[in-house]
Amino acid sequence: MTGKGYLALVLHAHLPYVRHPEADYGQYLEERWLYEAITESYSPLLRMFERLEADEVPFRLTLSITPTLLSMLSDRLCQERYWTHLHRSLRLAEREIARTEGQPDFQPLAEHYHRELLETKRLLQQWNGNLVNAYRHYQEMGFLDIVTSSATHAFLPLLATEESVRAQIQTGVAVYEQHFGRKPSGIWLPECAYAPGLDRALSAAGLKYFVADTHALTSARPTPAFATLSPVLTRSRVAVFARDAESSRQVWSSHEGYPGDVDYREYYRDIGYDLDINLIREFIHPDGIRVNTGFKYYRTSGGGIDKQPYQLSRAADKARQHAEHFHAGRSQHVDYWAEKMGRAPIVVAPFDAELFGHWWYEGPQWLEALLRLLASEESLLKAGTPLQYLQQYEDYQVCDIPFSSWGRDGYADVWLNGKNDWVYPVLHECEREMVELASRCEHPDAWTERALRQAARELMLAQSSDWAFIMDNETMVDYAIKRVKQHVQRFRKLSQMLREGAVEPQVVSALEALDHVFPTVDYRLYQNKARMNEIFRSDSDRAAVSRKPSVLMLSWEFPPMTVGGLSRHVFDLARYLVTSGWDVHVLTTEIGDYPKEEDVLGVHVHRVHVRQPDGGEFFHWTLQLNLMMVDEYENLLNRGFSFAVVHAHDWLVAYAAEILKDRHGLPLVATIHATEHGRNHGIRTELQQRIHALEWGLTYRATRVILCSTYMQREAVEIFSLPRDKTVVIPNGVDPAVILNSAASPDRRQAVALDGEQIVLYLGRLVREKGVHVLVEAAPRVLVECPQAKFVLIGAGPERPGLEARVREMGLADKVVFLGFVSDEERNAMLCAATVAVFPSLYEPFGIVALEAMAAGAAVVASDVGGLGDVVRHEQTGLTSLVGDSASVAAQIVRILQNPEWAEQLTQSAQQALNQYDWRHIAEATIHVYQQVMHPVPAVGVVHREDREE
Amino acid sequence: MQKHEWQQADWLDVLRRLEQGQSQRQVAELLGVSLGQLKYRLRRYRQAVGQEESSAGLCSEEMLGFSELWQKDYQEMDLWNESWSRHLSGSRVSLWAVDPHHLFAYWTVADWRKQLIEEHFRQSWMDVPVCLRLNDVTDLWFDGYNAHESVSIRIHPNTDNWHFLQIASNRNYVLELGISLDSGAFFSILRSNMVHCPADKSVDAVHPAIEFRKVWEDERDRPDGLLAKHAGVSTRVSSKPSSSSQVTGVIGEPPYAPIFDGYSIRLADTSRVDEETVHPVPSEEARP
Repeated sequence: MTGKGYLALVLHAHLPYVRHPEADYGQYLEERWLYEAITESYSPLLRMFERLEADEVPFRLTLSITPTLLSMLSDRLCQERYWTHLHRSLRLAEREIARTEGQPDFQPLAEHYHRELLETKRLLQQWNGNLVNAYRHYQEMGFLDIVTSSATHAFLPLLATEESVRAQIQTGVAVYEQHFGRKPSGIWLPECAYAPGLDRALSAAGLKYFVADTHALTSARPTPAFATLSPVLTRSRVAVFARDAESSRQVWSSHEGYPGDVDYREYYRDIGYDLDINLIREFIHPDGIRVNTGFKYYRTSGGGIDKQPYQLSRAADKARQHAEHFHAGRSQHVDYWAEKMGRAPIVVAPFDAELFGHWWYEGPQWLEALLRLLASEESLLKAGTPLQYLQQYEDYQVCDIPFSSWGRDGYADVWLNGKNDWVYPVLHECEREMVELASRCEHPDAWTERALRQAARELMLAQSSDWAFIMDNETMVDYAIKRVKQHVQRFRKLSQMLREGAVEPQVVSALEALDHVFPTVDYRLYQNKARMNEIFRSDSDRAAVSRKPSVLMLSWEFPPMTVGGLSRHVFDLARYLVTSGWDVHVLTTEIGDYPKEEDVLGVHVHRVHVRQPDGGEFFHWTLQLNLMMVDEYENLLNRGFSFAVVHAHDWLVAYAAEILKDRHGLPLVATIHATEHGRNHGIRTELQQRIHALEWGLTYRATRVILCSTYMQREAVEIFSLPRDKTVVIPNGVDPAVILNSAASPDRRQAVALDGEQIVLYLGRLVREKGVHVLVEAAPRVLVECPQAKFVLIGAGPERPGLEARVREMGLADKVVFLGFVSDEERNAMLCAATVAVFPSLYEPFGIVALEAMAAGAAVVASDVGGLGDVVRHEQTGLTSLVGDSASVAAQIVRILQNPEWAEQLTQSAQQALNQYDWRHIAEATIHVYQQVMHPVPAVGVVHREDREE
Repeated sequence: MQKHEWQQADWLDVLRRLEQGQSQRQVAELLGVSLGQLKYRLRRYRQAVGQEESSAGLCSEEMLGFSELWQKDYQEMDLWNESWSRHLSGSRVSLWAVDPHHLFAYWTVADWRKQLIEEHFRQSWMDVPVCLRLNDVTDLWFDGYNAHESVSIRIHPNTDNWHFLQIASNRNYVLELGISLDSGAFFSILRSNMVHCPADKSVDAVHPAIEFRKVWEDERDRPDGLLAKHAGVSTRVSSKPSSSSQVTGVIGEPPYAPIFDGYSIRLADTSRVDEETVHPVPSEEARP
C-alpha cells in the first residue's frame, strides 16, 4: 500500500434465511429476495470483478456475506429454484424483445436485460451453480477480504445471554470456515450494532476487527486522536473502524445521494406493475399479485410522475462522473488530513451490497469506475482493506466504544419500538431455555443431540434482526410475524420434548428438513459452565444422599440471628435430625456478613436477602421475606434439590409455607411455638387479627401441627378450631451437656452473692407476661423467712426501670440484683450456681428455661401455667405456684430454701425426667410426624394410632 | 450390521436427506446399506406411496413430489403453529437501553407472587396500586433507598412492558416494580438489571483531535539563513539537501557517518580510533 491514505469499500451482503421446501417455487413472494439479489447484485458484482481482473486492475474490496446468505447460495434447493427463476426471466426477456419491436427507446434495453441474464447463466454454469465458489476465488486471488457476520444477522446488543451472543458469533465463524476454508479476520456486526462487552465474544472467536457507526468512535472515551480516520482498539484488542459519514451521505441519501440522479434507472417503474395483467400473468405470483420482474424502462427523471425512457449510455456516463466526484472528494479529505495526523488516514465506506445493482442499478458501474480510479498511478487515495491497514502500524489507541448502530438515530430504535417490542420477552426466554437445555445435556444420545441442534437453529432463525426491521418498516409484516412465531413455536416444541426426555424422531427430522440451516451447528456453544457444574454437583449430591430423606425448614431466625427462642430451637432440632440421618435445609433471614449459604454441623443453611424497600413496616417486611424464601426454594429446586416435607415454624413463614404446599404440593408440617392470642390474652388490634389469621391459615394448611405442650395443644385446638388428630405434642428439647460444659465457675457466683447466700434466680425477658413483677413482690416475704436469700434477675426488657424503682422503694437494693442481658456462658454459670430458679410466668407456651434450670441442678419453682405445667410436676420435679400470686411464689421458694435435702431429691428426679426432653427423642418424634405426612396411611389408621399414643 | 427394518420415520429421513442434496451414496453409507439396496428400497417405497419415479430424475419435479408429501404427512405434527403467548415463566423485570433517552422494560410476575400480594394487602391484583419506579443509580451501590433520583409511575396491574422516554442520558438505571402504599412507603416486588444509557452522540470529534503540522507548509518559505546555520553546525553532514522540495526528513547526522562513508565500512579502523570518534553524538559536539 502506497499513497497518502486509503479508501476501504465494505460491501455487506445479507438476506434472511428464506427457504420453503414445503411450498412450490413462486408461492412465497419472499423467495424472490434471493432471486432478485442474485440477478441484479451478486452476479453483476462478480462480472465486474471478472473485468477488473482481466484488465489487471489491482482492486481491493471488503465483503461480508452473512451465514444465512452463504447457506442459501450453496443450498441445492435454492439453487434449483433460482435456476427455474432465471429461465423464466430469460423467457420473459425474449418476449420483451418481441413486444418492444419497433420501439427504439425500449427494445435495446430488453436486449440488454437478455444479455445480462445470459451472462448470469454463464456465470452460474462456470461456478457449478454456487456463486460462493466465485467469491472464494476472488478472495484467494487477493482482491477480496471476505468477513463473516453473526449467524442469522441477530442484532447482538438485544440478545439477553452471553451464550446466545457467543453462539451467533462462533456459528458465523464456523460457517465461514466451511465455505472459505480459512478463518475470517473480521466480522460485520449486523446493523453495525455494538454494545460494551461484545468485544470479549469477538476476541474469543479470533476476530480482529469490525466496522462501527461514525458516532461509535466520535463518542468513544477517551476521544480517539484520529477521530474516524484510523481504527481504535477495544480493551479486548478488537479493532474498530468507523463508517465515514460523508461517504455514506453521498451514496445513501435519497435526496442528495447519487442514486436519485435524473439519468439513473427508476426502481419503481417495472413491467410487473405497468403491463396489462394478461401480458405478465405468467411471470408474477400465481395468485395474480404483481411483483417486480427486473424489466424497467424508465429513468428517475427528477422525481415527477412523468418518466423519460432510460438510456444506458447516459447512465453509464453519469456513473463515471459520480465515481470521479466521489474519488475527488475523498482524495481531498485524505490529502488534507494525511499531513496532519502522523499516519495515513483510512476512510471506511460501508454499504449494503444489494444497494449496488438492485436498488441502484448503476451502482456496480460506479463502483467499477471508482476502483479503477483508485488503482491509477496518480491517485493519492488507494483502495485498502481494514486488515491491510491493521498490519501497517504497530499499535492503535485503546478506547471504550459506546452502544451504537447505523440504524435510525444511531441506536436500537428501529429494532425495539412499539411495533416490534413484543418479540423480545419471548425471544429472551427462549435464549435462557436454550442455555438450560444445552447445559443439561453433556452426553446426549443421537436423537437428543439432533433435537438440540435443531433447537439452536430455530432460536437463531427467530433472532434474525430482519423480522423486527420488517415490522418497523411496515412492509411484508405478516411474513416477518409468521416467521418469528413459527420458529419460536418450533423451538418450544423441541424444548418440551427435550425437557420431557421424549424426543420424537419424526418431528426432529421434519424440522431439520424445514429449517435446514447450518448443518453442523454446535449446540454446546449455549452451554453455561457454571450451570453445568451446578447440575453436575447436584447430580452427584443426589447420588450421595439418594437414600436420605430431606426436610426444608422455614424459620425467620436462625443462629447467629437470635431474637426469640425460635432460633435456638430450630438449630437444635435441625442438627439432631441430621444426626438421625435426615438431610436438613433451613431457609432463614440473612444477617450481617454471615454467609448466604453455610453448612452448620451438617445443617444446610440458606440465608435469604430481603429486598428493600419493604414497605417500611415489620409486617410488610415479613411478606418480603416470604417472597424471597419462595424464590430461594425455586432456586434450590433448579439446582437439583428436592424435599420430602416442609416444616414451618410460626406465622412469620406462613406465606411461604402456603405456596410450597398449595403450588408445589409439598407435605406441610407446622410448629406453633406460641399464639398471638396467648401472647396478648386475646385479639384486639388489627395487626393482632392479621397475625392470628396467618397462624390459623398455617395450622389449617398443615397436615400435622406440632405443639410443645398439652397446654398449647388445648389452646391451638380451641382458638384455631383444629381437629385434635391433626395435632401432635412434642416438647421442646434441652441439651444438658451445653449447660454443664460451661457451668460452675465460682467467680461468677462471688460476683453477685456472698458466701452463705442462697441464690434465687430469675431468667427471662423483663416483660409483664413473664410475671417477673410477681417475684419482686414475693421477695420481702421470702427474706423474712430466709434472710440468706439473694435475688438475681437476668434479662432485659421494658419493665426493668419500674422493677428497679419498686426494689428501691422496698429497700431491698442489696438483696435484688439486676444483671441485664448476659452471655450464654454467664447465664449457664448462674443456673448452676442457683439454689432455686423461679419462673412466675403469666403465660408460657413451653418454658424451656425451666428445663435448663433442672439440667443445671437448680430446684425449680414455676407458676402452674401453660407448658410449665407439663415440665414441672408439683412436689415431684419441682414446685408450682398459683399464677400471679406472689404469696404463693414466696411460700414455694421458702420451702426449697429451708429443706435442702428435699430440694436435692426434687432436682434429682427432675434430672431423670429430663430424658423425655432429650433432643434425640424429640428428633425421632418429629421424624415420625414427617413420615406420617410423607406416607399417609388410611385415615382410620391414623386416628387409631394417634388414640393409642395418647 | 443389524438388520434394518425401516419405519416411516426412517423413510422420511432418507427422503429429506436426498432433498437436502446428499447423494444416494452418502445416504446409503450413513444407513449402512449398499447403494443398490437403497435404490431398490427407494423405488419400492415410492411405488408404495404412489409416487412416480421421474424418468428424467429432475430435481425440481422431485421437489414437487416432496412438497405434497410435506402437506400429507406433517400436518398433524403441528409444525406451522403461529400462536403466541405473552406469558413468561418466573418473575423478572428486564430493562434495556434503546437510545440515550429511551429505556424499554418488560416484566412478568409469577402467579404465586400475585397471590401472596393479594392476600397480604387484602386486595385483588387488579386493585393493587402497582408502580414502576425508575432509579438513577449512577456511580453508587443501590440499596433500594439511595438513588440520585427516582421517578414513579402508577401503571395498570396487567401492563407487562413500558417505554421510558426523555430520560437523562449517560446515567445508570435500575427499575423496580412495586406497590405504592397508603403510608407513602414503597414495597418493591421485583428489581431489574442495571442498564447504562449511552451518552448523547458527540458531534465535536468528527475530525482528528490531535494534529501534526509542519512549521513551514511550503518549503520555499523556509528562511535560507536558518537552513545554512544548521548545515554549519553539523560539519560532518555528507549529503546536503540539493533542492528544497526534497526536504521532508530530519536534517542531521547520517547514521554511523564516521564508519560508513557511503562506499565502504571502516570496520578495520575501529580498534585504532578513540571511542569518542567511533560513536560520535552530534548533540555532544554541539554542547559548549
